[in-house]
Amino acid sequence: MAVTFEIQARDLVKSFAGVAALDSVSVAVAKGELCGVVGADGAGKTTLLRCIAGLYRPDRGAVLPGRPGRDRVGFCPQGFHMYADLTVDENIDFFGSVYGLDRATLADRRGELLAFAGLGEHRARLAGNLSGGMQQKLTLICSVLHRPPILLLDEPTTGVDPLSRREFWQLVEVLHTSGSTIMMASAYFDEVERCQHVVFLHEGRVLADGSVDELAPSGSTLEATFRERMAEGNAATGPSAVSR
Amino acid sequence: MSLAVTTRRLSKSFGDQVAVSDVSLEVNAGEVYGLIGPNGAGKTTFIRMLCGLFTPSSGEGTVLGFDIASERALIRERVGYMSQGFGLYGDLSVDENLRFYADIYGVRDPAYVAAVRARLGLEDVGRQVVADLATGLRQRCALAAVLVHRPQLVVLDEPTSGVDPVARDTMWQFVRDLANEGVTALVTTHVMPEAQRCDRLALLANSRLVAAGTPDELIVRSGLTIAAVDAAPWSEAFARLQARWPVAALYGTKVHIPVAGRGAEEASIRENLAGLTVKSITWQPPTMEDAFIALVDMASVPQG
Repeated sequence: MAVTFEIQARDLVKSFAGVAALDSVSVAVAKGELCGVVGADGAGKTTLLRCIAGLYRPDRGAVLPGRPGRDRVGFCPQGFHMYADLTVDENIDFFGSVYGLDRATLADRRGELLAFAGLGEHRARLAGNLSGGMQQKLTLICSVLHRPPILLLDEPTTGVDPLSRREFWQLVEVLHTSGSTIMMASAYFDEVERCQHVVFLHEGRVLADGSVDELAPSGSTLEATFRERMAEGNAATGPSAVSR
Repeated sequence: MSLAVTTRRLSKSFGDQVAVSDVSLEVNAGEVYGLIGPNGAGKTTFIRMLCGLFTPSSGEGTVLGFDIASERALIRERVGYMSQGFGLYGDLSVDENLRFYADIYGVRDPAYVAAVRARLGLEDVGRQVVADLATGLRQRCALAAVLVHRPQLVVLDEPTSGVDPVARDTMWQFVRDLANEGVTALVTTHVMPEAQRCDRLALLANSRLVAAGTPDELIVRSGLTIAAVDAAPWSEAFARLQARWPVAALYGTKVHIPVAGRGAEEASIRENLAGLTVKSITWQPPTMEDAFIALVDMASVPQG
């Protein structure tokens, strides 16, 4: 069966002030796949997502088949990036206009997405007054207003409590099962266990790439494998990335 | 065994808003004790009463043998409290922050402050401004700041929030080392694999104590087993199972369903998957997060 890759990055290199954030990173995510990218701060997760989204131009390497473009990608950045002094509705209006949605389309999607995220009764509240979990859900629905086939999520559940995390994942599952291709950066190993495809990123390199069963065979855990690969990488002197 | 913290029906309201209601618990000296619960459960208010920052509305408590209502000054001298967001001066250097904390606690022992700094691996960044440090280093600096006065109890409110996996692990190792030296730690966290590193846990929800015990005890108390269903095509299997069990979750291409015990509802699961290929159904213990959600859900069932 031929696999269609919706996201392909090949040999991406990106440095900031001489420091390599990405050092020859290649990843490929199949259409409809939920892919988790896990690593420490500074591993290059955010840089990778931004290169794929076309927000950064890599120094070398390429995102194939070319920059996906704004209408194909929904980008859910890390932290809270809504307008805190605007209401939930006003934020949705703003992002709808950024994506060039006409009034009727926006009205339809607003209703649908507010119900989807359980934010219907909060639409008149200032975004800055929402709980952390609700803010994350608002960020998510604003990033999918234009129904992008590709969704990039940068540590969306950092700092939220387990109940909000569960609710957020229920939304991700709906988007995933309806066919979106999703790449999520996370600092939590138990979270990427939910993904079909896991990428270990460490110091700008791919340490390993595969399914949870491949990376954590029974009796092992993703975290244990990550540490092993990290130790191997530190012991080796030459290029050490293991990639499929 | 001596007790580092005791509370009896401790309660706190702000106006007519109840933040903490009738919480009774005991923390042993030298224990790593975790406080978990949804946002707004009352964890921070509870901690602040112990540290003498809030006056209880009713109930009582002791910290290191001192009364939390009448002996606050004695408690503050002996407790290191690291608040959410770390409580450091971002525009001061690491050394200046440590000196500031040493001064307010009246510590006249620069050698000890230097030893704390070295222990947390901060020697090389002493002159760096805190705001410029990576989160992991900032977090270690915050821990150093609450240790300079040799506290017998450290209270850490979400010490690992926003910190990466490697730094989180380092933080927990420090906490465990302190406990081994007899310093009790009371820690809040939203990250359940971290909560499992505590000796015991208290789960708060809706301002009340819902459950207390070791992580394994709470997992058992949840009464759950996870049915991990491997069926093809997975998307159809997930859609059908979620329609029947709304709490079903997707893990890769497997569907996890919390059920009441090993083998429970297997017939029903298979029935719901009629016509699909069921490759396997395996039974596994719930995660701490599964147990957390189940215990909170049980507690929020309306009473009476």
